[in-house]
Amino acid sequence: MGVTSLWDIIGPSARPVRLEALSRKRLAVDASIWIYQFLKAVRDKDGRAMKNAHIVGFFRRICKLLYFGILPVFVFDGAVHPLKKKTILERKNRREGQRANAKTTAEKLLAIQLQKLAEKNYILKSPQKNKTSLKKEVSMHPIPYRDTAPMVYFEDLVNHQKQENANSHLPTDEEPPNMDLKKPFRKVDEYQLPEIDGFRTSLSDTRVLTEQEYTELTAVLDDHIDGIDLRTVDPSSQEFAELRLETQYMILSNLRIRSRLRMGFSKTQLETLFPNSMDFSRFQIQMVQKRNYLTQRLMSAAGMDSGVAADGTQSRRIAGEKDRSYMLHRVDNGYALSIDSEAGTSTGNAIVLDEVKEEEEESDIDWEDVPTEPGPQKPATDLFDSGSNLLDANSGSLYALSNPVLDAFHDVDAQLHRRRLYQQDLELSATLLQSEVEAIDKVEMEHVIELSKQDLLRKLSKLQMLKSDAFELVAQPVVLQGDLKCDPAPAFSFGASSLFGSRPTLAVPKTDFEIPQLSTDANEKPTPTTPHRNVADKPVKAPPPTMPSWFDNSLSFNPYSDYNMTVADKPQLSETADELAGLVSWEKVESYLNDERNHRDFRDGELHRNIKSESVKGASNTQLQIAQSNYETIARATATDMPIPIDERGRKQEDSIKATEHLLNRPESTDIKVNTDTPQNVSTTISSPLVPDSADFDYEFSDNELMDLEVQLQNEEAAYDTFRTTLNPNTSTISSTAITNLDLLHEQRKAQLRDSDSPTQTMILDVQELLMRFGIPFITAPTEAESQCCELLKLGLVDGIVTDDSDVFLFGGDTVYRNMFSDGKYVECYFMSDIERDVGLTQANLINLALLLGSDYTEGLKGVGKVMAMEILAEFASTGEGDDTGPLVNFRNWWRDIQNGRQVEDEPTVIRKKLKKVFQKLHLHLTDSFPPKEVAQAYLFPEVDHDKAAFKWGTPDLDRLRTFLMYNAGWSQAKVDEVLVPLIKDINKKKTEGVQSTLGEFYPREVISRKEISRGKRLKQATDKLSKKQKKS
Amino acid sequence: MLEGKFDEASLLKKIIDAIKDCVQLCNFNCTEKGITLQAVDDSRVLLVSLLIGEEAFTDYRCDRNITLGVDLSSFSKMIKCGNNEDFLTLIAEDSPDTVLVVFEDKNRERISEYSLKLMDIDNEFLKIDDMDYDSVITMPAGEFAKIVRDLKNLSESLGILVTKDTVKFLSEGDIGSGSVVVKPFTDLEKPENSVKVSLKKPVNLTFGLKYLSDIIKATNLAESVTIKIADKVPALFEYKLPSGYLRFYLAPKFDEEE
Repeated sequence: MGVTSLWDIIGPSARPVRLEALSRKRLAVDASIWIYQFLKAVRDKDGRAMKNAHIVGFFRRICKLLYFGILPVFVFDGAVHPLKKKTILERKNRREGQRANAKTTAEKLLAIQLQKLAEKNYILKSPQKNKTSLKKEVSMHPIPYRDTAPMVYFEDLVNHQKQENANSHLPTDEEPPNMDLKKPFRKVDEYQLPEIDGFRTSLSDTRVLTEQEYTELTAVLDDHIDGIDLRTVDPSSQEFAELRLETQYMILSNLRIRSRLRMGFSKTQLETLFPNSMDFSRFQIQMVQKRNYLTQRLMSAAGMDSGVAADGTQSRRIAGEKDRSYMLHRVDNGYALSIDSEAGTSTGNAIVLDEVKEEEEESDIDWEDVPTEPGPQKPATDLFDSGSNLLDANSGSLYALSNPVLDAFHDVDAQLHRRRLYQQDLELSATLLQSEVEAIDKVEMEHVIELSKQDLLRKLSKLQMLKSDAFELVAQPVVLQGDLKCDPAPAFSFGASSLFGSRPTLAVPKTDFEIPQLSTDANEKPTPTTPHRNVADKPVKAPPPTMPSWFDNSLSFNPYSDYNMTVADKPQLSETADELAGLVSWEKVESYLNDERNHRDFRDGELHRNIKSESVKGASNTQLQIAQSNYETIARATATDMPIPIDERGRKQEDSIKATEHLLNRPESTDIKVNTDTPQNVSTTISSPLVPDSADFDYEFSDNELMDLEVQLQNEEAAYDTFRTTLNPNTSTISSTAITNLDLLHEQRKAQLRDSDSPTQTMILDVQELLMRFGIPFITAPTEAESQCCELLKLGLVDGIVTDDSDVFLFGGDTVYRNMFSDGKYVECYFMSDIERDVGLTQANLINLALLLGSDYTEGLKGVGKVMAMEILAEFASTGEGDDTGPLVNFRNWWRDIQNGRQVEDEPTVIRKKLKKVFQKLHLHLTDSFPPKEVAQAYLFPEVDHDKAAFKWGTPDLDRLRTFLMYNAGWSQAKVDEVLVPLIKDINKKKTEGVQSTLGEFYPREVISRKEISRGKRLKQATDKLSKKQKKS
Repeated sequence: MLEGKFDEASLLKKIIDAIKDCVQLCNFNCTEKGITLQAVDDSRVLLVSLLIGEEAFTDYRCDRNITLGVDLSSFSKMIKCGNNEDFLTLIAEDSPDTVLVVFEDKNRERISEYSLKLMDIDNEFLKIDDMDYDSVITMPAGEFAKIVRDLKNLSESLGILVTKDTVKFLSEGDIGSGSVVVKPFTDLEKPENSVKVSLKKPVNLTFGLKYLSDIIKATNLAESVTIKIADKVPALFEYKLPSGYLRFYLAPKFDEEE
């Protein structure tokens, strides 16, 4: 895509422009690569491509453009330029050429080994003149024909009966030649094989499939997968690479099975095909190679080659899981990590940190319960230790992550004990703290031990505050506690802790292949949950306080086994939360809970139920204690959005909350730090499945570009979230537009398989439909979208171009806006005048640069990088008047002289000396046709539409957009309205109040001087030189 | 070498306070005639143009043109360090890395010196030609500031409608609408309180109140403000300085249909 590393060269000349400054500007948007970008984008997030990725992506970008009052014109790619086709083909050939090289090397190695083997055989055999032993040798060795000159072929001498026996010892795939020679065979050289007439097999040979069996077998294998003919598909082709990963996988595995089935041919077919055994052998080797290739492709398609980290763990598992991904969400005061797809999809819901905390809290409290049992204090501590050890051992990272949080909660625990076990408490809490956490700050620990009951209350209140930060419905835990009172406190902790131990080990042996299975399972979730569906669609708001402690932990080590739990629990809990808000009686809520539990039991079996119910009980029991701590009033007061009169004491405690905030801030901040590591890991692992297919995809993106793209799209995601919040501050009630709806996924998957035939064309049509409903004009360029954008600019139909493709400058583009969607406020703007002044590059020189570096239309020179290219241009730039040959012609002439051994320069410049050295090493060979004229022509005179008709912009049609997005992207109306309604309001407001114009429309801009641009030393020298020469001429 | 001495630090303080909220980084261009500045806000809607003439200084010397790239928020912190009545002297070398701000207390023998690091800022400007405006309004700066502040509560846009002998400021929003009508008026005792309207052509323009509220931060600099408007071009708001001016050019809002 574009000229290799051109952005790096001209990057410094960019100026940041505020998005507001683009108000009322008509911008041509090069949409040609957007679809590809979005395909990548959503795959990046979920590990797979999504059907509606392009729609959602376009929708977001369009919204952003419209919000800033930009008048966009979308330009789509037309036919592929012949030069581009040629370049793509050449690149492909080069790639295959490399593969061929590897093949030859392998062949060479094989040949050497074969030779060695043959020699060894000869040495072994030479003393033995016995024919039977010879026969053994023949059957034992894979290369039975490579015998030395004095040898006489067994087949030449013995009768055919025996010979067939000999055959039966040979592998089926390599059907040995049946010799029917009248004369003894004498070899001309070592490797010459005797002539054979054909194959012969015994009918009793069970290893050979009969004609009938073969047909039966092949009948099972379908020739067509998703409408793709397996016989014609080429796995190394570009088209294949563009298929969806799943389809690729299926095709590859089918092809592989076929290749085993006697290379996909029946015996008779083979006999007619290969009358010559030599050809057959070659064919076999080819098939083995093919199979090997297919196996490798299969592995890469399955992500097996890249998912294994250095330590041998398959870190992709979480990332690859269908419906769960780590997400970073921007919240009020930073970022929060969300583990599952539902939680954290909205800003209000995003503070997963709190969730973790609360669950941790409960986990600790669970442990704490044990001492209340008749058992003495000591075992309790031991239990605690063992439990924590288990935790530690099995979920090291998680544990580390939650350490600071744990610290804080241990304090709470300790205080609880103190209240309940008066004599023991100081001792116990000290022991607990010491045994549990080594990392704990000593000072804090002491401080904590001395904390009074009042402090405990404060901390609890702070916790409640944390909850209330994110959710309005924090009164829930209190009520839940109150109502679960009736549950006896069971001694479940031992069971739970052993579960901690066993769970991860269970998880480890599971292979990647189980993931799809499991997630499908999850998708086929039976309907009983439908009553909760509405709630599930909304963000699950409350951090489920009754979520048992193990839940969170197991979530981390064994993310998929508990998938259904998340689904089941979350809506449930928010349901209860909702109920609470509506002041519905607890009985109702509890019945929900029971239903939910039963439902889960039905699916998860005994184990889950036991854990679940036990831990719920345990948690509730401890919650009860908290409730006893006379805290409800404050919790309710701070939690509820409604201004409930707070009693005097509550207010006082609120003050103290602030006072103790610093205490809690500390663990919180550490927590965040640890958390941010995780998403990084995740993002790297997520990207790994891309690696295999990106290699085949370099039609548009190189690996680096892909990486950039990923980063960029991540930024965009974040920026979009901010944008959404600015647009609609009340978004907390509706989940983000991140495309993660569970149920839809399954449907979409099917649909995707159906549509995978021509994804791009349908996608383009989808997008154009979307644009129509937005009232945005679009055109399809005759050839390349970039060139049409430039033409629109030249015709004065637009004021600028939005593209990420550096080709646009070669077509004479000006006022180019790049990275429009990665940052919230600024966009990079490139003016041709800036590029010329700062980097010394005119359109002609940019084309020359492309000829050196390579672009869509040309391969470029091998071994020339951005710095060297600039040096060449600067060094060979035309000097005098009348010298319009151009730097590349000068360069070619200079090199032709060297090439032909003519010494022209007595004292070459430093750069020329260096260039000479480099190019001699690279064996550069230039012909007189070197700067290929057709490339420059293609850039200077592209085939474009010269229509001067001005564009007109309509208004977004809310109803039609709603239906479109609901149908195509599966969004709920609320989700569509969340962004669209405020946007349309804003547009209408602009209509009534007027649109802000900018000064640039009235006053011409003049540049006196620009600040010094930072760039590499050699590049700076080259650009300075080029600029100077430019000015002269 | 630049050496400019203000009789009172308050003038520069007020100037910087008036513009530091709409522009962050800007180049002070020092010539022998005085110091000029032109800067555009980030959204390229409001342009600030400042001239501090030679006469505004008690001593002024600038042999060669010097450009001082200043971060206004830092500069503002620095010049707040002096008392309003102090002498303030700006000193800079010919191609300076820093500018020196010297305060001299008039009552005591106290001299404080601050040195501000300069920045490399793109030096570009918009070429604004003098032009004829359709109508020119001169009114007390405080009154204009009050109108802007009041009407800002209602909407984001302020309409200025100039007809024969009347100026109508108009704002319509979700909660309601409001308007203030100002008519020409002459106060003989306090001429600065007078309102003058000279009209060639009736004008009706709309401006963003967000930018207008940036402009009225200059209210302290002058008794009166002169507003020059013409159809479909940026309006000019001018505050006169003892020698020189502080001008704001504000791009209008347009109806989309037009």
